[in-house]
Amino acid sequence: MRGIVVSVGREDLTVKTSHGSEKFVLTPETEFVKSGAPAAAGDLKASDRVVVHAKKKGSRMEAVKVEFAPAAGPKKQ
Amino acid sequence: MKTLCIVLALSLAVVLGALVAGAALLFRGGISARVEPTNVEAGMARRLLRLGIPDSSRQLRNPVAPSKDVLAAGRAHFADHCAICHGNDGAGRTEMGRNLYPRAPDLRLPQTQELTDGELFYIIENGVRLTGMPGWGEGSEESGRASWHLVAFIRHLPLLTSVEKMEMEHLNPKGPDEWREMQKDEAFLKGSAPSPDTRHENH
Repeated sequence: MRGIVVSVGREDLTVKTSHGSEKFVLTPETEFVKSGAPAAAGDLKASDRVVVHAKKKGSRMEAVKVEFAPAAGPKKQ
Repeated sequence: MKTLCIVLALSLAVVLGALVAGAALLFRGGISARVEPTNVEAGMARRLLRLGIPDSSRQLRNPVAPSKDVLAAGRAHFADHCAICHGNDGAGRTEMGRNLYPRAPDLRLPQTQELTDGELFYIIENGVRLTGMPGWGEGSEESGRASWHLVAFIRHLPLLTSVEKMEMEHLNPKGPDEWREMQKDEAFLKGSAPSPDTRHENH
């Protein structure tokens, strides 16, 4: 699932996608990758671009791997 | 004569009891692979596994030293052939590994790490009957060398770094759709507009 981070907490991540808002559960096993390098949950910020690989567990979506890149800064004039 | 009859009857009762207990153990849950093996069953299976490996094979030591190149070759081979069940990190926490009976073992744990080089090589080459482990050996020198590289890599699994694990993800087998989605992911993370995601998250 590709989208933009709306909010990130210790145990959940909300992402705005083309289908609307999606909520994912973060677990101790969730992997984080920032710009192709291993990262931590704390590196993830609101408005980052994110690709979430998730698995359905009952009624919730559990994030297995979260790949992200910082939002592009304002364009230089 | 009477004593002999009693001994025979008792022996028969013991054998029948053992058979009934064995059958109850084996068929609890029918043929389902979902039930967890009991500790007794798992322990017996481990002992039988080691007993089933010829002594000459058990004594073998890895003829290749775990150099950087050997580990890289083993890592690439493992990502391509083994990770679908064992996972890139060898933990066995994959859809396949978790649902096999017996479950794919965590290769980083002593149960596997304490096997000899020869035992690991034998299992890779010949597989294990009545489990999901296939025999990969082709009997050629090249295939044998590749299996020894895998033995070296399995020894390295407890020390696997997250960078190595990420490299392996690029080497895991993927279908054309998966490749396309991966390229779209990369393009999106580099700033492209999001395109529809066709992946399914059910499995």
